[in-house]
Amino acid sequence: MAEFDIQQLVLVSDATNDAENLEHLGPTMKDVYRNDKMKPFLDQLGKFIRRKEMEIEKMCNSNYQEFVQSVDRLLKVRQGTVDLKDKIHILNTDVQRAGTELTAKKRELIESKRILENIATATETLRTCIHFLDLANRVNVQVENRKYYSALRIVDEIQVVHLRSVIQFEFARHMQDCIPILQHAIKDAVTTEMKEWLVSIRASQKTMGKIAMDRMAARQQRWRDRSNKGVRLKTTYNVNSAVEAAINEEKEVDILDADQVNLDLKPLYQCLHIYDELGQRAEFKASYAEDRRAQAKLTLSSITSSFNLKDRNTENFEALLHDIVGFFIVEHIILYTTTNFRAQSQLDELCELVTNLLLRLLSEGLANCQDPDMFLNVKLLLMLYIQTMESYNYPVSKLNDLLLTLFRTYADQLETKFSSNFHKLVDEDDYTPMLVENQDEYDLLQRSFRFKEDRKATRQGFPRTLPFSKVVPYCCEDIREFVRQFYRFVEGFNQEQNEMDDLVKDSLDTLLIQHVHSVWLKKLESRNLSQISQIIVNLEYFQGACGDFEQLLTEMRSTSDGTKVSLQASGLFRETRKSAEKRISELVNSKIDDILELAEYDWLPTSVQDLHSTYIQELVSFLSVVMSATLQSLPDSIRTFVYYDALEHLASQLHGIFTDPNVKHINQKFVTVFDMDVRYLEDFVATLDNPSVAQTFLPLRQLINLLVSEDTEEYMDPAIRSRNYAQVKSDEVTRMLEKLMTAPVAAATTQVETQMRSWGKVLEWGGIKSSSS
Amino acid sequence: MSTPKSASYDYLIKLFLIGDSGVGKSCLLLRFSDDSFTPSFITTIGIDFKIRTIELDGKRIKLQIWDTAGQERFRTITTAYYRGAMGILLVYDVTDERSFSSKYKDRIAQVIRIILYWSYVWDKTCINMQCHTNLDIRNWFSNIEQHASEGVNKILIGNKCDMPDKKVISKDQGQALADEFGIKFLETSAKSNICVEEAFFSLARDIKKRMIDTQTNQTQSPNTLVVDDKGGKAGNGCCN
Repeated sequence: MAEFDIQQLVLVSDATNDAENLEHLGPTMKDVYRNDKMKPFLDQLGKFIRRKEMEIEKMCNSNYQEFVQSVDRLLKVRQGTVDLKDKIHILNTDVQRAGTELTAKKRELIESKRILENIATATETLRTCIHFLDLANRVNVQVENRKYYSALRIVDEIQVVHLRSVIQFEFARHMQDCIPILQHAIKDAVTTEMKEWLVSIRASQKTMGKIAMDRMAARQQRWRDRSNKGVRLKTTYNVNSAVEAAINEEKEVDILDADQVNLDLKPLYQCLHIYDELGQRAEFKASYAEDRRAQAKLTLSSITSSFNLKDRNTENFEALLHDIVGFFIVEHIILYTTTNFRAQSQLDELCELVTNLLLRLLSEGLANCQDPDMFLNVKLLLMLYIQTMESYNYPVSKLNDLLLTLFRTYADQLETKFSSNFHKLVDEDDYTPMLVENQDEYDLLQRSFRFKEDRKATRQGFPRTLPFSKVVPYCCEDIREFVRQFYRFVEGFNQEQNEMDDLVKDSLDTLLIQHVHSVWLKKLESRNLSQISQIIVNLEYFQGACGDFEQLLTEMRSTSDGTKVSLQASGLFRETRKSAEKRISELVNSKIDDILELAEYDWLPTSVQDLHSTYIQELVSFLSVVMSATLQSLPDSIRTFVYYDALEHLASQLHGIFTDPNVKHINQKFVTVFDMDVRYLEDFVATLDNPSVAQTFLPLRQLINLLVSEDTEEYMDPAIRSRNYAQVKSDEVTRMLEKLMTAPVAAATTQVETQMRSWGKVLEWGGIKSSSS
Repeated sequence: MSTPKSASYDYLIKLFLIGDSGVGKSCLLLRFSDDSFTPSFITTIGIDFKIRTIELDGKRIKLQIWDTAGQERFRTITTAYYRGAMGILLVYDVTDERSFSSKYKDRIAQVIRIILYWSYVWDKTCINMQCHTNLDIRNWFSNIEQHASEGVNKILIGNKCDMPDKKVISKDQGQALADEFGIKFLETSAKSNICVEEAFFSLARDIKKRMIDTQTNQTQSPNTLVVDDKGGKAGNGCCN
């Protein structure tokens, strides 16, 4: 058996391949092992090995040559391999070295590449930042260049677009924080500019106000010209009324387009725009309103210190008004060129504020003003101002009220001014007929008041005297001026015209009464006859002039309701003339009394001169001089009256002297002397050839006639008595006869006795008569 | 004897004011009679008189003072009064050369007087001719010589002496002229009431001395007797 297995093994081993052998080996070994055939197997196996070795030896003996050769070759190959191996080793080292270098280089390269990348990123970032900062910088530049909106846009852009890309940076975050500050800065800048503008427009606002007021003045003038053509227009309408506005053909160019005006509203609009953009319009609205209010106050207060109306200088005031008008025109323009920015109510409120300040200013400025011219100037300016303001739709009612107040003050002032003028004129008048040198002077006088002269006077040529004294035409001229000035002030008032008409009438009346009439009334107390007679003449002419004034007032009346104005003074002048006439009579009479005081009659003269008394002659010559010279200027009617009164007075005074109850006795010679004196007077009266005075001495004459009559008894005959002694009072006859009869008689002649007897009869008859009656 | 109607005075003296227009005659008179003054210039037209009773040496003297118009046009009227005057106050204005002397005007004045005369004849209303010709004092004086009673008392008055800065006629000039005429001289001011009383009193005293004090020795006919002597009259009168 063992042999088999080895054979098998060899077979197997010689067979195709080892694997199969090995697979067969296992079971074989296993069989060997199991059958306990180990020894046989190992002997078999040893025998196999020695056979195989014998085979190999045999083979080797047969092939050693080749083997040696092979070994040689193998050795050679081995040598070559070693060489190659060395070479490979060297090469390997070389390659190793080169590789390390390469790696280092490669590593360097990688590093560089990474750096490169970093640099690029950094550059990119920086560029973004620079752009960003640039933008940020441009904000300032734009602000500096006053391109606020663009600045604001940039800020927005920064905020919205750019900031996000650089937000990782600290500075950007800082920048983000700064955005509101930037916006604020822009706002500030634009506000500052706007405020500067507000300050700067003051100059142009003045010009604008001036232009506006000048235009209004021109418009007033046009209206005045037009009104003068049509009376109805004037009385009913005023400048700014619808009618006037419709008729006013002048197409006025916008005030902003006027050459002189240099007003650019851009700063305001810009500011408004910016605030709008920032959504802060309300804030701007408020601050603007505040600014304007402050400015308005400032405008007024700045001038207050230099505002002084007392120096008759209205330039400051005018400039102030220009300023205010300009201010409100600007406001008006702003109101109408913006929406939802300014409200009319605000403007009105502002206007009210200014008006109040203006009112205060004026009332202070005019408080002590005594100059009506000043008032007139102020009024004209104020009127212009009111109408200009009105044309821009501002409320003016308060100012109109002020005008009324001014008007009243003006009226007072005017009255004061003219009253002092009048007083002076009346007081300083020389009360002599006025002398006119030539036709020009004459015409000038006729213009101040129309007076009539009789033809005889006009024939005289020049120079000639007029009946009245200087005061009359001068006063008339003044009164015309007064009325003119009055109505100059009234012009433009559209309310309470009636009141003003009454005011001017009353004022004029006051002037005439208090400052002409009363002065003359006082002058009438003087004892100067020529002065009083001149006053009478003046009064007469003045009374006539009053008619002219009444007509003038009627013409000037703003309301043409046809009522006739009548002045109180007119009647007063008439009355005063009457009392002046009385005064003249009084004075003449008192002079007569003065002279009569010098009459010293001897009640019981022993002889009779053939001549009248000296005092009677004096009296007559004085009277005739008074009548022909002193009172020469008086109208005949008055002179006759004075004459009549004087002679009447003289007659009654003489009568009084003649029948003086204190005188107890008179004699026939005294009656003769007295008769002569009376006769002298009668002769004088006869020369006057004036029927109204002819009978003045009749009662006295009849009494004297009776006393000197040879046949006194005829008095008892009613027919003769009523014919010759009608004016004689019986008790007077009794008294006179008693005086005559009781007078001591030097030598009793038959003639005297007869007379005594007849006197006694008459006395007796008179006694019976008086007791029976 | 009959009781005098008025026993308010003892003597009556008639005085007469002459001088150029505007020298202040009326003002002097107003000051003397009413002690008042009016600054406004009021021309006397025609003639006027005032009466004031003064007391001299215990006698009440009634002064009737005639104020004349200085203006040339009234000269015909005023001339008639010269004769009745017992004393004349010849007034000039110390501030107005022309009222004192106006030699160069003599001829003109004369011519104008002639014209005035004829115009007066032509038309009695020559008053319309306003002529302010001034006579100088010498002319006035010769007028007195010509028209007034002989021996009439005169005094030269330089009025308006309250205005020294406007004064052009010195006191010496006035005095010299008065000496030449042999009459008294005073500078007065009606406005400031300087020497007005003195002027009238002095003249009245002279007249009293001339006419009344010497009258006791003489008897004058009543009609030429310009001084109304009550005392004398009372002697003539009868008892009751």
